[in-house]
Amino acid sequence: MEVVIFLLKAYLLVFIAIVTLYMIRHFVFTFNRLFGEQKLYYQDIMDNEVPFVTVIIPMKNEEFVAGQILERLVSSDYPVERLEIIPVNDHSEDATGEIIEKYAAAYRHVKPFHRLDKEDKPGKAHSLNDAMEIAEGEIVVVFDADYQPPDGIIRELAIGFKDPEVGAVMGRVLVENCATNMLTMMLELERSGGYQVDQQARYNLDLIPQYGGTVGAYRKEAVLKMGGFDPQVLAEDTELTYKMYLNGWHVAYANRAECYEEMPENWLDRAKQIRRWARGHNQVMFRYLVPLLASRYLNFKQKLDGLLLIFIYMMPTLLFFGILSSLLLFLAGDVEIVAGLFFLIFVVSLGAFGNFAPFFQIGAANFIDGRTKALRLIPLFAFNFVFYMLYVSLGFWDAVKDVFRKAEPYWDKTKRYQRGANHA
Amino acid sequence: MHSVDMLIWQYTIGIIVLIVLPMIPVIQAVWSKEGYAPLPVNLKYTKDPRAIAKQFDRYFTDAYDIDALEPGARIESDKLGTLEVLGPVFEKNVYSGMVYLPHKSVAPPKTKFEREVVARDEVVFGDHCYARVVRTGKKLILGEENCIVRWIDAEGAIYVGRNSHINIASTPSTMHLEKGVTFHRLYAYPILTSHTFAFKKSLQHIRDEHLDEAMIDKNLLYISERTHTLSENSILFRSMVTQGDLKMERGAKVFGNIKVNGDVTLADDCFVDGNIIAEGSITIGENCFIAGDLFSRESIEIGSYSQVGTSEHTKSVVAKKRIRLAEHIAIFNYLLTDEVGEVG
Repeated sequence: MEVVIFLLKAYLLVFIAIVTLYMIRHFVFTFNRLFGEQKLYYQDIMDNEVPFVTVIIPMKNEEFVAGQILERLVSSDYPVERLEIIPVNDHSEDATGEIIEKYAAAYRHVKPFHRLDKEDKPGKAHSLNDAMEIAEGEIVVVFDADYQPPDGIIRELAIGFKDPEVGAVMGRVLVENCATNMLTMMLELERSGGYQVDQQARYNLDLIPQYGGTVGAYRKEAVLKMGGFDPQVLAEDTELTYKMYLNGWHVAYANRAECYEEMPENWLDRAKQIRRWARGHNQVMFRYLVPLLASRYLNFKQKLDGLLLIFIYMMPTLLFFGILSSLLLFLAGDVEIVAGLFFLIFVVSLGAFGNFAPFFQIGAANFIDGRTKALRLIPLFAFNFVFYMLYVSLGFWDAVKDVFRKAEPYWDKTKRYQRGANHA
Repeated sequence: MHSVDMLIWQYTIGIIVLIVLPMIPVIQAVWSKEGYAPLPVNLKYTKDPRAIAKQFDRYFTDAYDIDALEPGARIESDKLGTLEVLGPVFEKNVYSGMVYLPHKSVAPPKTKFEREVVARDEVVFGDHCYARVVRTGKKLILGEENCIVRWIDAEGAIYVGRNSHINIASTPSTMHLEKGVTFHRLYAYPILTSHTFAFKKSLQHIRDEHLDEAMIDKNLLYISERTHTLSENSILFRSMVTQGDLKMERGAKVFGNIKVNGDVTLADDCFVDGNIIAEGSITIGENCFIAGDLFSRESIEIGSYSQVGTSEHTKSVVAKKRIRLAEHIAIFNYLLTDEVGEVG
């Protein structure tokens, strides 16, 4: 019994230390974003020599949104002779294919790619890999089908590659349907914290800004050299981030390259989404943890940030065990592990760590964005946090199972609402 | 009070303080949906260095019927206030309202325009003039020690006299800046400091002389040294990334892009057929030719008789901090600093 008590206490102390580390990290990010020197992105460069860009839009049953994104992309200000748009019809069973063909007939630089053969495996990774084989562009820009790219965004993303060290560029995602209900508004607050503070601070501090898989761009040759996207990994974006850094490339973050997206409008869809993200992210963790620590291209602070980033979707599972440990120690009447101080740190850490974007980070981000009234929803994140703990933990266990499973993982596609049609 | 009652009472107070009270603003927010609108993104936004002038033109033509304007007229607008139309003679030293100049005009020294000056024709400002904004349909000539608080834009060439401050300036034509001019953002085709300099360096000539496609190594060259030096008259045919500083000695040439995680120093007569991106400062010596962009997260200094970009390859010079331009240099065609730029 004494050994069990000792192990529970040790676990709790280690967990508190890790959570405190996260708290410090997010505090540093917030402080940097509010008071630190901001790193200049390349958007102010004006240059009439621009790279050839291929825009790839993976689409599966996207008839609600296909026309909207193609309409936005054909009005881009990027030189048409240096641009091709490849909408990938990935085994759609609705009118997606016809919508794409309609645009291809009207615009020479829209080059549809239909993946309808049964031998062509479905999925975003397969779609991107196959589309890259026919892409002429040296830079690939990726948008999900529910996004609304502004006219100038391709230039803003592509200009980052003037820096020969930049392998990928990530733009900022804004929630277009945030006014729909409380959930979408909370997701927008969270998004704001993630981009306006977290991504920008990591860029400022020369850490590891994350490529997000959409509203992003990468060097095609670099990705092909690294073997393309692995269909076994659900978070191809996180995987690309780590691959880039492990091969000496950097990811640049373009805070002003803003683009609307749709977010899930009900809790069930959100649960599926967050579980999928957690699963994919943890797959990456299992695969890249050791190479990250051994990398010769990364310095100490980048390795530490990479480590904290790669562990982030494992934390809710660890937290669950942390709570369980506390409960068991309490029931065993042995909770006084230097009680006062550690209990305080534990509670404060939990409160600060919250649901991956700590409260003060969300607050600061939305303050910068000039959105203050919606911040009244912040107390609700305490409940959201329990919800995430459950579904992220499930995602973690999915990833653990994937380690022993050979088949490609199946995942639920997020439902579209096309709320942005009128806006566009 | 019984101890159980006391406990219930304490818990009730606790629940009210810890759960119900924080939820009041939440309920209010959910109920009113105030502040729920998406953050605005201008889907039609496209980068244009003359956007301010174009926007201003739209406001101006909406507010006033300029075809009917003759010298001496005064027109009121709800949007932009009073517009005074001036003839060739400037009777006052200070104009507090917006001014319109329908004909070629010469503002005498020390004239102060507290608001915008809009001109259809060529405008000349004498020395020590002051204006908030100058927008002209033709050439603009500013004398010495002028101060333009916000911006100037001309359809024709812009000439700026010594020790003037122009903040933001744009033109589709040439811009000539004399010594001591300070600025924040410039756009011209090209920007010239002192206009006695034959700026046309031939990129094609240098490429023909040196460049053979087969010689270019497409792999990046990574250099981890604290300071790396490209020796005198050496030629590098690939892009490079250095973890420390980079020094290019006299006459060194690079056919490729350069990323430096430190400071870059180019001695005289250097040539780079690519961009120079630096986390530190960039110092360009005399008679250098950069056929790409210059981008520094610190400061940039460019020596005399140097050129950035060509008439066919328009490029940018962007620095987070100070930009210092020597006399007799040419930049095609955009220059920006977050702090202050200076000629001299």
